[in-house]
Amino acid sequence: MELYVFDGTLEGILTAVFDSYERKASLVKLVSSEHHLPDAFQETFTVISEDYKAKRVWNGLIKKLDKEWMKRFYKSFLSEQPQTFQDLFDFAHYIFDNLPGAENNFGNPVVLAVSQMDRKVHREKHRMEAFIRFQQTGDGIFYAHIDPDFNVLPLISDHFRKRYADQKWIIYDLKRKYGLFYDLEKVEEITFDFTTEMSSSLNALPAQVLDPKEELYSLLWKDYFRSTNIPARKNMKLHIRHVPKRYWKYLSEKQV
Amino acid sequence: MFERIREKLEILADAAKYDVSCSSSGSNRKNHNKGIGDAEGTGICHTYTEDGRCVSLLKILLTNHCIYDCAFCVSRRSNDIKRAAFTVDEVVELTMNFYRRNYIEGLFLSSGIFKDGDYTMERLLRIVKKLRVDEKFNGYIHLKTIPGASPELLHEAGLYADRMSINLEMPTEVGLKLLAPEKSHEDVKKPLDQIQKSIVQYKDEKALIKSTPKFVPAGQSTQMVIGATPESDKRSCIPLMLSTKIFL
Repeated sequence: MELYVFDGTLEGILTAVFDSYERKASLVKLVSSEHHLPDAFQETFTVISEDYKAKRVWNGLIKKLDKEWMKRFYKSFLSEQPQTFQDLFDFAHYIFDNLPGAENNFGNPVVLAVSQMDRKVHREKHRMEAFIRFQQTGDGIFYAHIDPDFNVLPLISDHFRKRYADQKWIIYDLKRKYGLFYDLEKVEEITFDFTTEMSSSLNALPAQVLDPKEELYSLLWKDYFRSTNIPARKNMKLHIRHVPKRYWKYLSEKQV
Repeated sequence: MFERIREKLEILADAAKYDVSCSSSGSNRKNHNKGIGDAEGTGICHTYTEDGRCVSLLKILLTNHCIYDCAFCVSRRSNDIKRAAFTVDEVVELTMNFYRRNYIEGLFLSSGIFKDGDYTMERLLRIVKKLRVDEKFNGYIHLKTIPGASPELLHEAGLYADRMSINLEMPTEVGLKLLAPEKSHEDVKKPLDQIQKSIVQYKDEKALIKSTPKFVPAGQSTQMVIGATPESDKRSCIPLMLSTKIFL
């Protein structure tokens, strides 16, 4: 068994697949450098991401998989789970080593794992499309921050670009410390530092940077949320299943 | 001002919350004009009430003043409740501001009837028109048809709404006469039939002329109360058969 350490990127995984064929490695354990703990008795091989290797593997996969599966591959990668990195590596091997159609063999644990992770990431993407709550700032930008389980910003960017084409907006991922900014033309990746008064622990921006009408509308939304409820049919179990508690902190209707 | 709009929203959201419809899917309206909104494809539930129902649309009445006295309705004339009415601009502004903050997928607009059908329908029409034309809103709009409104108003509303609906209220004419003596199934069937025919007509024309505008792209729906009057299940099925006739 060989231990491969890679940089945690998609190119890294694909390069690792290339290298493993080149080195004729039969059994590989793939670890991202972030999760790697050096071990005195284990030989490690460091994968250096290279574009042409990654592209060749990616194109190889395209030849054997349809578009849907390529998307699944990418979405599972965005989960950033250590086990999923290994699964994707093994999955690529399984696809290359077998006849076309192998991806439909859900009896294979790796195929199953990749497709299940894709479902999870997809669900998180859909939740973010639903649970993002913009606040209008004084300079007219609509701002929201999130802290999703998986790295879904690349997946939701199109949805928000199409939908909010006539307003500037920022969606910032606090966990991964980057965000998307739409400037009425295109979406860009941005990073910024929070000042102490705009600390990330706040679930809302401080009043002085907000549009004067913002308070009214978030209040009206809270009112609406309350009056559309039917108290006699209260069912918190069902409510929490649909809106899990970990998302409450950034939902304006859930703030007291 | 602040307080009044809050009170209005409270009254008129409360009055609309028993309406079953909340779907925001089924339309195919894209953001084609660099405006705001996109109602293509699947719906999104932006939150859920504490009783576990999906909140996808801003579901409100324009007013809960009503000239009718239907026994099954909270807004009936004889009921002693607080009354309120939004202005056209208030509804437009609420919808736009909620939508811009990603609170909702669109608007579900119903209304009690003040004065007469046309007077009310005209206001509903002005709201959807303003949203679509002035605000370039491409989100989802579900509009309730007011019984007794003229066909011209219905037709124009159909050009702006994604889904329209008018309620049969009761499975049988006899039951309806018992609980809502001022209404009749004839008043409902006519608009249902008109919208349906127009949908078919626009679809046919779309096949020939690409620039044919959309007409109620998510289709129409209806609702009725089952179990309030002593009809048997067999009798209740009659309007279902009738509705398949209308819808297919």
